Amino acid sequence: MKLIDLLQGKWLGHPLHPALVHVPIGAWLVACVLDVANLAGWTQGGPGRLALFCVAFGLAGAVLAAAPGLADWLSIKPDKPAKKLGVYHLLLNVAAMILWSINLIQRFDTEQAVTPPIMITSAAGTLLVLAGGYLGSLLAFDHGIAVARFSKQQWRERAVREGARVPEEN
Amino acid sequence: MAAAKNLLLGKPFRSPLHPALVHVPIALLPLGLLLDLGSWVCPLNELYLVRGAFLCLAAGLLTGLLAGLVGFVDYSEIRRDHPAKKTATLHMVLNLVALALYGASLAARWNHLEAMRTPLLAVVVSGVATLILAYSGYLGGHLVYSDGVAVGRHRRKPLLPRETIVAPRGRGVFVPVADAAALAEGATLRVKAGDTAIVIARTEVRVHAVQEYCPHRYGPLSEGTLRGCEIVCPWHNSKFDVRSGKVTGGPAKVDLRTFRAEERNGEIWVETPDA
Repeated sequence: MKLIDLLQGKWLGHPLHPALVHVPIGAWLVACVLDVANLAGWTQGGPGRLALFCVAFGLAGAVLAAAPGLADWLSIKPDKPAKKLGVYHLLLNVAAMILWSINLIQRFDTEQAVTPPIMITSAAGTLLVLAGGYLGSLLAFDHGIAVARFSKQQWRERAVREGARVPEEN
Repeated sequence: MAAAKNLLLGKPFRSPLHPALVHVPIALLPLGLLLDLGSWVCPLNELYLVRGAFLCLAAGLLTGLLAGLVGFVDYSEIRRDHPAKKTATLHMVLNLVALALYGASLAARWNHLEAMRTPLLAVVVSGVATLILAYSGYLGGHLVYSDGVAVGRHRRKPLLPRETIVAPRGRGVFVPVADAAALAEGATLRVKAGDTAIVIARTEVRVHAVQEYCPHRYGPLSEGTLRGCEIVCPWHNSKFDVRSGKVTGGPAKVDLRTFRAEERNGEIWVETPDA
């Protein structure tokens, strides 16, 4: 199997990128919520530690999601509006990854307390990944990117069985 | 009522809510398991692994239940006879089983939050729950990327057809399929005449019938959007004139089959195909 097929998730039957992005989006959002709670006075029981784990877990997921995301983007035809949208999606997510990487380094210096610089990268990183993620949802649900990519043969057979006119197979 | 449902279906946001909400439980619940395993590999109190895992499970369970409620609205919008309905049912049942197991794991660790390691039973139950969640999440991906559930749904104001209407038998004859009142302007009906799947759409002027499957990637035109005399495929925005079946835009290259349809005495009639 070619590398691009591997990254696009042909072996799984679905795209890989949308499955992997649960990790950074969910974990980073929770890290930000923990930071806010920490600033608001919840310091007992290790919220700072848990936030650190969330940031690291999210970063690992984001690194894994990047190459499959790029492979999905490559399969979009250049003249489609989704191509440009995909670029914005990529830029926002790369910016989020950079901010969360800085945030992770910032956390190594402090024991558990959330300092203002940590809160800033945490909040900005969350806003960026939410914006990037929203564009990603539009790519799938508004533009249909990767929809029926691997199931179209099955749907074609059903369409033929149910009397539809279909293009000749190429 | 329809407005509230359209909100929960995520139409104002141009994408469904359930797939967005599940990010949190899908990230937190496996992270909880990782922290549990960490507490066995590296049992140090200052890492707060046991407490961290507890928080992950508790928050994951709550957000998972919330995502489930919204997901049920998506579930109710899948046509009864849609091939994805069974997958969606399994997706829902397995998610409920996984959440119940996480709840059991939460209970099993409740009295051991000061321990160095998460109790073994709680870790094992959480591990099983995570395997089930992974498979169920895979099914969720299948619903979107193989079956196209919720794709392009937001472009359409009317709710989706509840079921496929089975037309009376006959070849090359007009048969009644529904009350005219069952089809509002801009809405669609999905009809099966023999083996042939047909979508009936009402424009400002009259009713029209074309084939159900888009000739691009075979998306369901009965779930598409009607704009004037143009029907838009929900998946990749192929556009067709419902009067002639001709492609008017988008990636499709082949025109639709059309079928004669008309209103007679308050009923919608369609001419069944010859073969």
